[in-house]
Amino acid sequence: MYDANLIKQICGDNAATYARNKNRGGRNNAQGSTFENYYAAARAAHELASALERDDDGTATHLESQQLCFVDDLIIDKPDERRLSQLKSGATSWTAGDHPIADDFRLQKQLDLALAIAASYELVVADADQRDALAAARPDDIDVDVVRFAYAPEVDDFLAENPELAAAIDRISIHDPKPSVRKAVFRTLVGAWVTSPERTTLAAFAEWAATGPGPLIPTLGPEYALPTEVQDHLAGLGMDIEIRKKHLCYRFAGMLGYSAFRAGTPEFSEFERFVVQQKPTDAYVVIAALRGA
Amino acid sequence: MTFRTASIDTAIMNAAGKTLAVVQSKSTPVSAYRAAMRQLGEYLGEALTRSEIRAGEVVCLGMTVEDADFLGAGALKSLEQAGVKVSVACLWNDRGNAFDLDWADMAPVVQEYREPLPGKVDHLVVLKSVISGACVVRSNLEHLFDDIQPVRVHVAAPVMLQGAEVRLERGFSKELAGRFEYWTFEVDTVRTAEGEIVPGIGGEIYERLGLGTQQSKNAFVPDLVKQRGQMAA
Repeated sequence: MYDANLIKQICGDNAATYARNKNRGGRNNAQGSTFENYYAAARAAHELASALERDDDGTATHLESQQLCFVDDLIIDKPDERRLSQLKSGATSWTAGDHPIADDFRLQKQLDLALAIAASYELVVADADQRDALAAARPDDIDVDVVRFAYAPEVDDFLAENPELAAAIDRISIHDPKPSVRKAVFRTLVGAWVTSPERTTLAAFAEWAATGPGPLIPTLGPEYALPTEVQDHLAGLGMDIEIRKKHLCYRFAGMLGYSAFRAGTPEFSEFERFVVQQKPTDAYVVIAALRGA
Repeated sequence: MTFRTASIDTAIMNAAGKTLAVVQSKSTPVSAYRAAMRQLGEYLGEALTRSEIRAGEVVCLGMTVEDADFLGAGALKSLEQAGVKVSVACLWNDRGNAFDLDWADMAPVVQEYREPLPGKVDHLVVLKSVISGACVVRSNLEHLFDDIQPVRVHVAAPVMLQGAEVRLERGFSKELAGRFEYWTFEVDTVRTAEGEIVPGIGGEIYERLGLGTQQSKNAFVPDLVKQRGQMAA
């Protein structure tokens, strides 16, 4: 979306050099539990929850970071909204340093206006007092929301500080909502985020996250309808089944489990053929097949 | 955190040491290995019931799928023989280094067998044949703590790698981790580049038990689960 020549034309040589230098950082995946990674993973969780509820396949939503521009910690670009986020986990001010944050937002606005890109901007901090102080001191010429995002490196503490995130995780979870599940889902989102390309669609992000251990993270797109013949056969064996975000969830004789593969994949089609053609009479054989036997 | 090794009866420690030598021998065939693991489970159950767990108390006995028919069945036998009310929780973990990131080692529970529990659980006993990185045991404890608040928490394994308790307790509150009680017959200090504890339990548990690979064990339903599940149904 942005390129060096355009930045040079619109914002000048010095700004273009600054943008290039700023762009050299890359994501920090040496450790997952950073303020930036947690914020991105949390926003991804909210976007996934929203997409699932709207039956949105996620192909028109982009998650970006470390782009060649001035406000680049996280950009979420949707058909109806584009929001650019700058994150500061420590002490900060609008005017301090060689490249004050206020100037970053001014340059970004200048760039977006010239390119006719409609966007909103936010400065994200971890501390409520800092948010209030920054909001009060915000220069009049910049239109930036100052947002607080509570952070704690330990996932349990972090989720306790962010109940709306825990609720979003419950909405995307394939498993029953429980603390251990929330923790595993969030850690998977963080892992998927730090290893994703710097520009990806929400759909591709979900597909990538779904390759982690589990199933924990759903892919986007319409829910799967299990063929009646398969459903009836499994019910006839005494299995209580339901499709949850494209995975088959089953209960039988004290057991609760989730298919190792999701509906619509060749493995799942093979499972369906196995049920229809072989008509297994032992639920444990079905369970083993669902786990990849 | 408390190591309960000193509480284990000397006769049990000696017998367990001899049985450990069987599992540690690379020449032990699958059937003898399975029997030895079952025996080690019995010893762990006996150690617990001789000192800390009383008849009539309620125990949630957590175990992994690969341990269920062997270490788990043995411990269950000892606990039930001592008059303990046992509720089994057998867990299938999908172990994976998510996205090849060192810090994202995870083992979420993807399938479970659970027996009903009364309101008050006196003891949670989590079994594992060997504890080294502690990722699976941590996942299983977290998973079980979702639903139960046991008065006491025991982590029992025939062999532990030195420092495993530190790795296990990472991520738990100090208050909770401070309540963990460890039961083991041997603490080893050597872990090879391939991740094997030496002498440990004589190699990769899935292969030694004849369950195939780590992947294929998740498509396996232990007899213990089938028998108890169908009895309850």
